[in-house]
Formats: sequence, structure tokens, C-alpha cells
Amino acid sequence: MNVITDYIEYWQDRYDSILAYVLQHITISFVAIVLAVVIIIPLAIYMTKMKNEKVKNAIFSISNILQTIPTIAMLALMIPFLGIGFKPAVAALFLYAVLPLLRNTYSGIKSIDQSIVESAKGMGFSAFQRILIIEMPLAFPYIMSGIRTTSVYIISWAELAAVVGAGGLGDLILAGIGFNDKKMIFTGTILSILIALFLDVVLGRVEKNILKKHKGGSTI
Amino acid sequence: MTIGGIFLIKLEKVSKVYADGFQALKEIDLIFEEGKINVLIGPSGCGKTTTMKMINRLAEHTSGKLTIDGKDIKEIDPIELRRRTGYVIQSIGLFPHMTIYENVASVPKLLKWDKNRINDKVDELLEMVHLDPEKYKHKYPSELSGGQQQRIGVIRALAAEPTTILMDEPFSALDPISKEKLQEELIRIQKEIKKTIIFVTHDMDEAIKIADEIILMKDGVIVQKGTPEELLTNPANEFVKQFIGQDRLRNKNKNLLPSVKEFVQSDFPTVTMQTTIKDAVETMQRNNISYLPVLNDDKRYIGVISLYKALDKSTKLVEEIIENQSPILENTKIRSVFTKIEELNPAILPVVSHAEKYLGVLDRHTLFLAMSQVIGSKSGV
Repeated sequence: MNVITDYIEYWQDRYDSILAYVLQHITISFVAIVLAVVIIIPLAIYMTKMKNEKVKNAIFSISNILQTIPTIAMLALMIPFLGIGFKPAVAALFLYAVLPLLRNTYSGIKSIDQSIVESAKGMGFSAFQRILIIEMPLAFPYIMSGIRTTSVYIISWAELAAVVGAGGLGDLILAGIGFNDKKMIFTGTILSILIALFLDVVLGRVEKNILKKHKGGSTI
Repeated sequence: MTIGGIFLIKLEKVSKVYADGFQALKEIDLIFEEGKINVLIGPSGCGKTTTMKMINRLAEHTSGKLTIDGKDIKEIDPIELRRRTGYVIQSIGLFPHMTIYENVASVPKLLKWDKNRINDKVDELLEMVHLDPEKYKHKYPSELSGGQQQRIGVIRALAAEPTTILMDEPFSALDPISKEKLQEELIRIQKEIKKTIIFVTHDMDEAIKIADEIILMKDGVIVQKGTPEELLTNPANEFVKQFIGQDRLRNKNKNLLPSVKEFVQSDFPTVTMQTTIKDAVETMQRNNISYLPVLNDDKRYIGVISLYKALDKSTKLVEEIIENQSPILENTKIRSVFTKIEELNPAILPVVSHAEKYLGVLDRHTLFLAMSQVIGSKSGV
């Protein structure tokens, strides 16, 4: 019983700063995810139209290599370029998001039956309309699964942002290690897990709603 | 739409060389007949699909001139061109994430039609292919059979009221029964809409069945262009014969309705203007017939006389009781002969050559036997 009341007391004392850490954590992750979605998805779509195999392979190789760099090393590598704080953290997380988003979007679009795309072209859809009205909706489940996987990873990796002084729940854990404070470590961990789960559920809902709208036969 | 006698789609010395040096088309001259089903046919690699795809600029010609309504195709915006050219492909290519309504409405939507107009159009088209709009509009393509899906594919191409429709082997992936049905439907629909249809196929039976005009190609050149009848009766060379197939050439009289020529009874008794009534009546009685064709001295057809009038009047010569009855030309299609029989129900049908020479009369008995054979050989269709 003591443990629980102690923990509740801890929350009562510190909820201000805990909330600040949560907010920081969410901000770092969110900025990284949004940037990745906005930049990588269009890049992947562009790559599906790219004729130059060499350039395409080079991009895939780079994103593969990025994925193999250990998180802590990646963050350290950012420091010479971007200093410490928010920027290097977002940049590192962004680079981790490249591969899953790129690969999912690319294969999602490539998996579309070419006859569908060809008939759209033959019917007079412009390249942009083809992407927006035909290819994106058809590749949507793939793209969405890429976004979901990436989001969960990024939230968990954002713990390490504290190492480069960006704050977030990682700060709480690092401090917990320093003070040998189990409550801090536990709080930092559990909150990060909850944020990741919450975001996954929300994104899952969004996906389902959009798909339902399509299957419901609404005229978009 | 023809402007000042210019045909809708015209190719002049059009060639197509691919980047790898392969010459798909060699200086093709071709005019697509307006308002007709033009079938491009030939073995694979003959350039038929390339020819078709140049018309909506899915393929670009490398030299020569391709004009639509007199306007060079290179000056027409490809997107706009494609929106006013219907396009149906073999693999159907319906959008799986859209309902039937949305699929059919897609080009009208791109053209920003009024919503009510789109609605009416979709209903009209679904009814045209005998699919109940209320039942099918909100279904998805995957809920339809292959034949139904391609019906949607065809009406989707018609939705924006294009003047030209390109069809790239649209029925070749379907089962034989659906295929047969869709071909018949296409012929029926074409009678209503009268579009210029450019239809690519490799199936000669299909071409003979649906084409107004067949364009037979080989190795990037046009080998022969003509109606199915012309190709069957007058193949230009060995390749055409071979491609059509010996069976079809031999059976052309079964597949196509034979011409009048085949049923002329040339030994039917005749009389001249100067024959006496008495002789004429005798001839009729001897042969057990009640009508006789009358010829002049040059064996030209004049008219007919009937036994009824010959007996009734106290005349002396045949020329006094001649009745006017227009003869049939030797190359008349059997179909129109039937129409004539239906309308006039003449007792005898005299047949004349182009030089107006009398050939004989149409033998209804052999015609009837031949027709029953044709129908017999086609039973089950």
C-alpha cells in the first residue's frame, strides 16, 4: 500500500514537470513524424514514377544504412552539425523514419494493378489526379501502416533525445538513473509506452474511418 | 463530325520507331471510318495496338501526320484529348475503391459536369446495358461478374459522350458466353450511339462479327482494309488468306449470308413481248406456275405477266398485260431480299445483272433450304 500512496504523492508533487516532459516528448516525436510524412511520402511517390534505377537504388541503400546506425550514435553524430537540443533530436528521429515510410509507400503504390493506372491515364486523369484520386487511396492501407509503425518507433526512440539535451521523458529516466529514483524511471517508461499505444489506437481509428467512408460508397 | 469533308481521324505516312530502334509502324496511311466499328487486327507485334494508342497519345508517332478533324494531334492537349476519347482495355481496369457510380462518373467529374447531369447519364448508361441502376450503382467492381465488369468498362468509356472510343481487346479475357453476349451488345449499342469505334483484336471471328471495316496489319504495315465480306471474298494476298484461315474462307457462305447469285434459277421459263397469250398460258400450265418474267429481244428484263390476267383478258400479245415489278440486282444482300419479300410478297423475284441483263428468278425453295442449313449450322448461338 505504501508504494502506491508514495507514488500518488510523487505525482501530486511533480505533475507540473511530468506534464512538461510529456509535452516535450510529444512535440519532438510529433514534429519528426509530421516532417517525415510530409517529405518522405511524396518522395516515395515520386520514386514510383522515377525511371532512373540507379538513383532509386541509391536512395533505398542510404535509407537502409540510416536504419542500421545505432540510435545513440545517430544522436551523437547530429551534434557537430546541429549542436544540441531540439534540432538534432528531431533530425535523428526523422532519419529513422525514412526507411519504413519510404518502403511502405513505395511498395503500396507499386502493388497497384498497372491496368488500373493505365486506364486512368487513358481516360484523361492528369498525373496529379492519378496520384490523388487513384493511387493514394489504393495504397492507403500500406501508407498508413508505414505511418503507424514509424510513429510507435519514434515515440520510443525519442526517449534518447534527452541525451542531446532535447528534454522529453528521457530526461525523467536519466534523472531517475542519476538519483536512483525508481518512481522517475517507471514514470518515464510507462508514459512513453502509453503515448505510443494511444497514438497507434488513434491512427488505427483514423484509418478505419477513412476506409469505411470509401466502402460506404460516399461520393468524394 | 466531319468538317468540310475531312474525316475524323486520319493518318498520313505515320511511322513509329521506338527508342530501341524497333520500327513498329511503317508509313501508314489510314482513315478511320466515322460512326463505324473499325477493327484493327493482325498477329502480335503487327502494330495494331500502337496504332490505336496513338489516337489518344498514349503512344506518340515519330514521323508523318496524324490529324483529328483536320487538327494535328500534336497540337491537342493529351489530357483533354483523352477525356473526349473513350478508352476500354482488356483487363477492364475499373477502380476497385470506387462504386460503379463513381467509376462511370469519373470522366464527367473530371470535366466538372453538373451533378444531376452525371446522375442521369449514369442511370441511362446502366439501363442501356440492362443493369438496374438502383441495384448496381452502389456496388463495388469486385461484387460484379467479369462480364458485368466489362459492361461497366464500356459504359464508363461512353460516359463523357466521346466521339471516338478506343477498345483494346476488350472482350478477350472473358469466358466465351460473356464474350458472345458483349459482342452482340456492342453491335446493338453502336446502332444507338453511332460512335467511331476503333477496336483492336487478334480474333478473326470477333472481327468478322462486329466490324464494319477491318484493317488487317502485319509487321507495321496495313495489308488489307475492307468490310468483312470484302476480306472473305477477295483476300489481297496469301497472308490475308492464311490469317483469315482456310476454314473461314471455305465456310464463308455459312458464316455470312450468301448472295442472291447463288439462288438464281436460270432455267425458269420466260416469254418475250411478242409471245402470244395462248403460248404463254400454255407454258404456265405446263410448268404449273402462275407468273412468267417477260424479256425483250436483248434478254433484258421488262416485267412479269400473271396467269390471272392472261386468262381474264381477251388480248393477243404478252406486251399488253405486262405488270411492273422491279427486279433484284445479282449482288443484293439476302437480308434485303427478305425485307422485300416481307413487304411485297411477290409471286416471283426476277434477278438481273449489273448490266441489266436478265439472269433468272430467285428460287425460293433452294433459298429456304440454304437458310435452314445456315441456321442449323449456327444453332446453339
